[in-house]
Amino acid sequence: MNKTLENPILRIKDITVGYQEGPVLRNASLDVFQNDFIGIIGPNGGGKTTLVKTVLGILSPFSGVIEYPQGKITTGYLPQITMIDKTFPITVREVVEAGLKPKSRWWPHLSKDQKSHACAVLEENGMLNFANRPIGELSGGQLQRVMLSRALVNNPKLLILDEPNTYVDKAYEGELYDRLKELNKKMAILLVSHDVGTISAMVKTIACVSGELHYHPSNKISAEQLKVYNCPIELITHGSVPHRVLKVHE
Amino acid sequence: MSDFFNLFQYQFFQNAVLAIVLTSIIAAMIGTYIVARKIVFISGGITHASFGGIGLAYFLGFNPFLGASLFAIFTGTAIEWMSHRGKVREDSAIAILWSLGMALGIIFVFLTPGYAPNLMSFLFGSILSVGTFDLIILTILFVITTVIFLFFYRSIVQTAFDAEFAGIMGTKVLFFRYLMSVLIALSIVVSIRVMGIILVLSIFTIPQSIAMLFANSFKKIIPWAIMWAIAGSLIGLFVAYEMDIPSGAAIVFILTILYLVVKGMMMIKERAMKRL
Repeated sequence: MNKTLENPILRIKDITVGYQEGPVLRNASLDVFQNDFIGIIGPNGGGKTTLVKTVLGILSPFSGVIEYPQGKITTGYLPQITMIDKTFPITVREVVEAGLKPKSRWWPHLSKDQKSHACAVLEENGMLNFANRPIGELSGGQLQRVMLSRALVNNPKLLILDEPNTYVDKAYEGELYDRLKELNKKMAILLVSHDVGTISAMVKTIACVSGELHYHPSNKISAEQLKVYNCPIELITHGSVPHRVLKVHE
Repeated sequence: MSDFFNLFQYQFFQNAVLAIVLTSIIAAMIGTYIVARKIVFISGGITHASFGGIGLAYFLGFNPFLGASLFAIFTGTAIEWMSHRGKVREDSAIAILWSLGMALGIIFVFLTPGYAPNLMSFLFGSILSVGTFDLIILTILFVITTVIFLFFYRSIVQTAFDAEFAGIMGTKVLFFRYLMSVLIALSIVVSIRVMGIILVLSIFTIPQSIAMLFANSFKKIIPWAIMWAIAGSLIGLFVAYEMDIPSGAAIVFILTILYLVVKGMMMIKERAMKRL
């Protein structure tokens, strides 16, 4: 087999991580390969966000390491939309440009090429017409698309989404999932959700995070397995979004 | 009216006008950051805490500007430190530092033997006593603030908007947070001469609020806020002279009127657009 397929692009190796009060996540390991689409599920406070913050480098693990066996990769990040201050005076274009790094350390501004690239990414996400609008004028779905553009603007090899399905209308949810399937051809995706039902149809595999991490190499998971993984979440699904929760497998 | 323009031949009045223009520009830039980050209350804490430094300076006999700057910078960085450590209820902490600063100021001023400094001039500003030292300090801070905003515009806006993401992208978030705390503290202190402690925040917030009625990004709000701040404070100075009232109060009054006029015009325009 090809080397790039054998080797993970990201290797989380036995990390224990948390805050001043103590570890939230213990001895977690996970390999992420280039075409992976992993759903990260678990109860609130179980360590999903802690895991994501460690991968993003915001938190340093108490022990264990994060490795990039194929060299450092670019990562795109879509935070929870509720974390965004919609009243902040900033235009759509400026938000997306935040996802790019200035080329020189000594002149911290973007080049013309980078700015036109940001516009191209906005166009791909159907938001170019809104480039000069303030984010306060956008609907939830439109803001989501802008934040996704910011995550994609530096051509990431790994895309991390934190609860992208909360507070967005259901019509946009379906659209987002189609878009993610398309993006998955070019990059690995980690999708954090407290709701396994909605995501299970689109992800390829599942990681249960609840103090510890259990990797489940399939997108089919049952209530019994969640119990085995010590991952107390409800299996619920919503409306017209495609979903499947299949029987226990051997 | 002609009396007012005759004043321009006097040095003290030229100083006053120059101080007002420089203060307006500094306050417009820093105030846009304050309003966008919603830290008006923190800035209020810094302003009032600086009075403790003024009192201490009188008591020990050094420059009140230096005393105020030290107290303001200490308060600003202390609040920033507490807020990112997240251990203390931020609003209570601000209120404590706010009133402690005022209390220390009053205690020190009363303990100072002999000549008692005019408290009123610090509380309400004393624009006609602007001296060369004030103008030099204002000019230096004007240059520093402008250069920092032009050069680090991107990092300042990104850190204020979404600090976590800015950090992921490699921006030195804490550096910019503290840099801005220091700039806020210094720009408030230099503005006290013109506006007074009690009214100084108005020039950091009202021009920005007028600008935000029709401008929607940092880049557009700053030049508009500069324009409104200069217009409001010069008209305020004129009114203060004509009516013989403190300039700070007149400036706040005029800025508020300007806000209402612009807001009213926007509403009339919106209605007209709807009818079309």
